[in-house]
Amino acid sequence: MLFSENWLRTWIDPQVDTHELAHRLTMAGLEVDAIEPAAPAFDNVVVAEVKTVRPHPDADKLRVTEVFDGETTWQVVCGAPNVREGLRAPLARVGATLPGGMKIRQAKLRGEPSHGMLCGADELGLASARDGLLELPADAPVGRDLREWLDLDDAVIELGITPNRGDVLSIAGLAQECSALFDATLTAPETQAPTSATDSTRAAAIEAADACPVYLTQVIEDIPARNDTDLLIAERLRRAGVSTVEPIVDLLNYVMLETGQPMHAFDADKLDGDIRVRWAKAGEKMVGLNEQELTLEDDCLVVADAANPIALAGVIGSAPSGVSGETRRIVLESAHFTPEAVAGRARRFGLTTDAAFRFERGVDPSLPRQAIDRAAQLITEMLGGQPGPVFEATGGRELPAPAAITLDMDWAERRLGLPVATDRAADLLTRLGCKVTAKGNVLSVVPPTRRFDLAIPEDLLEELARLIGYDEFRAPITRMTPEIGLPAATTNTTTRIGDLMADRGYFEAITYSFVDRDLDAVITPGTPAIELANPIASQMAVMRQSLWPGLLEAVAHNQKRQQPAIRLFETGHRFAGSTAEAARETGELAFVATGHVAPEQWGQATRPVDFYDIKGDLEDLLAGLGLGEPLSFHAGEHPALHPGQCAEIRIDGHAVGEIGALHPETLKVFDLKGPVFAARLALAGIDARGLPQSAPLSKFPRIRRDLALVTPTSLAFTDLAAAIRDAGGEFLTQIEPFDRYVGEAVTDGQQSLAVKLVFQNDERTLTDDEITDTINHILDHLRQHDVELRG
Amino acid sequence: MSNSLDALENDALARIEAADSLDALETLRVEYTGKKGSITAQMKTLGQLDPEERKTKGAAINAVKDRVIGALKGRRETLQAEALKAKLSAETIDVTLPGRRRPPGAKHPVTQITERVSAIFQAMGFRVAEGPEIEDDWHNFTALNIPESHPARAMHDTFYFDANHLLRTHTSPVQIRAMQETKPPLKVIAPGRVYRCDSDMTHSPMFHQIEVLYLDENVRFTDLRATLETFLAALFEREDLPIRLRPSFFPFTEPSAEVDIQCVHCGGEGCRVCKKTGWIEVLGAGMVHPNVLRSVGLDPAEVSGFAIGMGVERLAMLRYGVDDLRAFFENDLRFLRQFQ
Repeated sequence: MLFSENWLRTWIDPQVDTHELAHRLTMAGLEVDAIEPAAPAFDNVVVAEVKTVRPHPDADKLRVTEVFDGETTWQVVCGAPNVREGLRAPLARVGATLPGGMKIRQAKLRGEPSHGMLCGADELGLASARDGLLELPADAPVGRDLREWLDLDDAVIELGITPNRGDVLSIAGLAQECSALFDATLTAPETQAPTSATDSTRAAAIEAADACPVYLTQVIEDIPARNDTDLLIAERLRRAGVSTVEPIVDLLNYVMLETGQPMHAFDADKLDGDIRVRWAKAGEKMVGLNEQELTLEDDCLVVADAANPIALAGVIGSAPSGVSGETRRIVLESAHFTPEAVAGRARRFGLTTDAAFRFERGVDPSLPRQAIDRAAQLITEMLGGQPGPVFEATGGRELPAPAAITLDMDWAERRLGLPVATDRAADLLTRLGCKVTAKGNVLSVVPPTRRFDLAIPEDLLEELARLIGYDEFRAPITRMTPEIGLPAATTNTTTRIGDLMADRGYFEAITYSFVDRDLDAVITPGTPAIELANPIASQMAVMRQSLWPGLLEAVAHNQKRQQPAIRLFETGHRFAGSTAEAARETGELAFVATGHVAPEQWGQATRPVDFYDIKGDLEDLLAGLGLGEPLSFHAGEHPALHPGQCAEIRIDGHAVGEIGALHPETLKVFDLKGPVFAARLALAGIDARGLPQSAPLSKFPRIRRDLALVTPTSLAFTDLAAAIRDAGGEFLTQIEPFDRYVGEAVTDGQQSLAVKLVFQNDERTLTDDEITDTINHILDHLRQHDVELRG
Repeated sequence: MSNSLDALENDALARIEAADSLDALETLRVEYTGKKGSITAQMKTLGQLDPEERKTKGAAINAVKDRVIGALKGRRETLQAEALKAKLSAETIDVTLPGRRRPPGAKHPVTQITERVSAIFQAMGFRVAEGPEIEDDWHNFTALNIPESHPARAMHDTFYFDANHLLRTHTSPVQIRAMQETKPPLKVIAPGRVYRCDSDMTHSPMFHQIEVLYLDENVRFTDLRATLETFLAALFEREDLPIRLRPSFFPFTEPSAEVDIQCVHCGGEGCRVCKKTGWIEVLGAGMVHPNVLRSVGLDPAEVSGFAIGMGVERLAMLRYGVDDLRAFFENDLRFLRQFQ
């Protein structure tokens, strides 16, 4: 919300400068977001009158004028089309400085001397209703400094008003707030309701009393043709960020800015019969003032004439019933619509209006009468017209009245932490406009009708605290029940997982939880993803069923930026189930690797990452998580992965994820250069570990035997190892392949595999004979699997 | 005779000194002190002498032998040292060439801030809680005292799935879930992803918040401030970091506050970062609204508490000098590498 500081100061003038005023407002909860000058710096610009105008002898578009500045008549050359004799307009005298630093000097324009410059609004940084010179009113004081006359040495203060403070969305409201803050009295401008000049009324009936307890109308007739809105009114509107539209509308906006009461005017000649405030019929249509056709629903409150809705109540009027330059007869509306009747309606139609903004937050229900009197006064004084009497419709209900709040000051101390003296509290609340009665330490507080946000004792605590100053409430913490916030030692936290991944060379990515439907389906075909009803973009339309789509997009992003080695991981939720109702969110760890296995280095050749690199990363991760022992891999299949390079990851025999090379089709869809390897694990499968348990160290030597085996390539190493283990006896402690050969020296379909076996007995040294017997036993057993010792 | 012994010694010492390799030295050792060596030969002549003379000459020969052996040892050590030196010299490498690296990765800056904030609150006894990102309307709004028609709902541009399900717009619903699960005293911190249907330079449709909740008997407004002072001083690593609380509005707290720290860039002097105000807004907080307590069946007369909510990206931008929100979600390695 923007407001003019000088306008506020005509109501209340606390003895503080702009900066201090802004600080006090901020610290009272009305946050000042910006302070801007009402007009840019310029000087030596005065109100002047154009006396004569003649054509320029040497230029078609220029005129030579004589301009009186209150003291002297100057010859000024002017190019504005609207320059004319008798016009009052701003004159920048010789020696003036205009916005941007331009100096006005005596000059010759096409041979004609020019002593100064007649100015347009834009040249002075002011609002311009039209091109050409800024036309000042006929009674503008010639010779008067323009800054002074238009009150331009003013600050426009921008407030960020929280939704609970609808009461300060006006100069009157701000003045009341300042009155409480500075303990100063305010002076409102005198409102004098005009005497009725006619008997004309427009009857109104309220058929939705809960939503509209009071609805006032007043007819004003014979409003003459109008010029531009009064410049001083236009300036105040401009500083409030409201543009001028039409003089009647502008004055109603002015009354709203001044009092806080949104006002509306209908063209009386466009209305069909009396006015009714009623709920809309579902499907009823109305074209708003912005020419948007609104299809109303039955929870929309409307103002209607005998035939049609003429306004969406408290939001926007209809275009056909609106006021235009031709309007001579108006019906003013000043009504109270409850927040519940207005809230959300504007948003539903994509509208934002000053009226809806205020009614949603709550407008003082006692305002309509005062506001309609003020509007009628300003319209008849400034524009003319014959006012009729005010017609008041009520729904037969009392206006909403705030209930008394009981505030126990002992309780207040327990909640605030510091005592506030009862009489001080009473004084502060009284300053806010509350009616306060004290009984011992307990106050009974009736808030003013403008404060929709004061309903419970806690609300009053905030009022007391903010008037005293939040920063006054300092005290050491009383006590806190001691608790331990640490997770169990046997929990594998995402913190730990992230540390291990980062130490292993992976960078953590954070990708959006909503992804492109097609990309998600490439990774998780067959099960539909949960769809957002209002996605922000089609590539963010469904909840991800896996973290891979986001990570693969991140890989593509980095490949396009020439990153030679890409390792990324992410932890986060994946979303299964086809509807939000049935959604199952589970944690997932995913990681991807592609590019160089190690940075290019002078002393070793680089090579691309392969399956066993990422598998090694996974194995080391799980070892670091205390899950190395129960981990196993089994050839698997996954629609997005290479059919021959894909494994299911199991822990204690339970599938917890997949690892593999991306399928060429997947690479293509994600626009990736392969090979790219990816893994993912359900966090639930890896988030717990056992506590490490120590065993005594063996005092006896380990014995190593290497076997050079020829095995069928179809025999998975895990199966080979299982066969060796079966026959290896209890002292076989380790089976590791350390060399592998496929090629000409071995038959097709076979491989040469060198395997290291380690034997150890914790109680004695094993003998050579024992080992040899065991090895022979193993070799016998392996023959069943078509495995032979290499000849 | 003694002359020849002298000559032998002089000759031996000179040749030992001149020996330029361990092999040459070994040859000399054999030549002089070996079984057939010339000093050994001198010893063998002793037998022909009378006992008196034998004793004298024997001592002289032994002395020569000791000196020669000493010279051999000394020369050997010199040659060994030289040989080692030469070997090491030959093995010299350029230690300034880069090593074989496996460079570490890094956690995302948002995670780094989240973990730091969590660790500080864990040290104060708060435990980490989690909740679903697909929430129902009741947990996200109604239970938090944001009824259907409340203008605050307009401030939460919400992603919906259906009439009742949405992507949580803040981490506050985790408060509700924590209160439903655990009776007070309750101390939880809930970091997580949140979503708003808004995307431009300064808004991301997904971002991160951290929610803090403390419920107990008679938790006071001053306790909130004391907790914030402790937390913010720890997070920004400035002892006695000045903070200020400004009245604000959140439907789920009353009183509500926005919390500023003194600008950590200019120390309150006023600069670009704090827009010349000397203060930087870092989070929102307040005393839990009685309607929120009632919504989970707690009696506001018996229990009170405070809640704190903060935007992680904002803190990360402040701490790490990131000036473009979108950088957090591009996952560009050149950006992520800056947080190693």
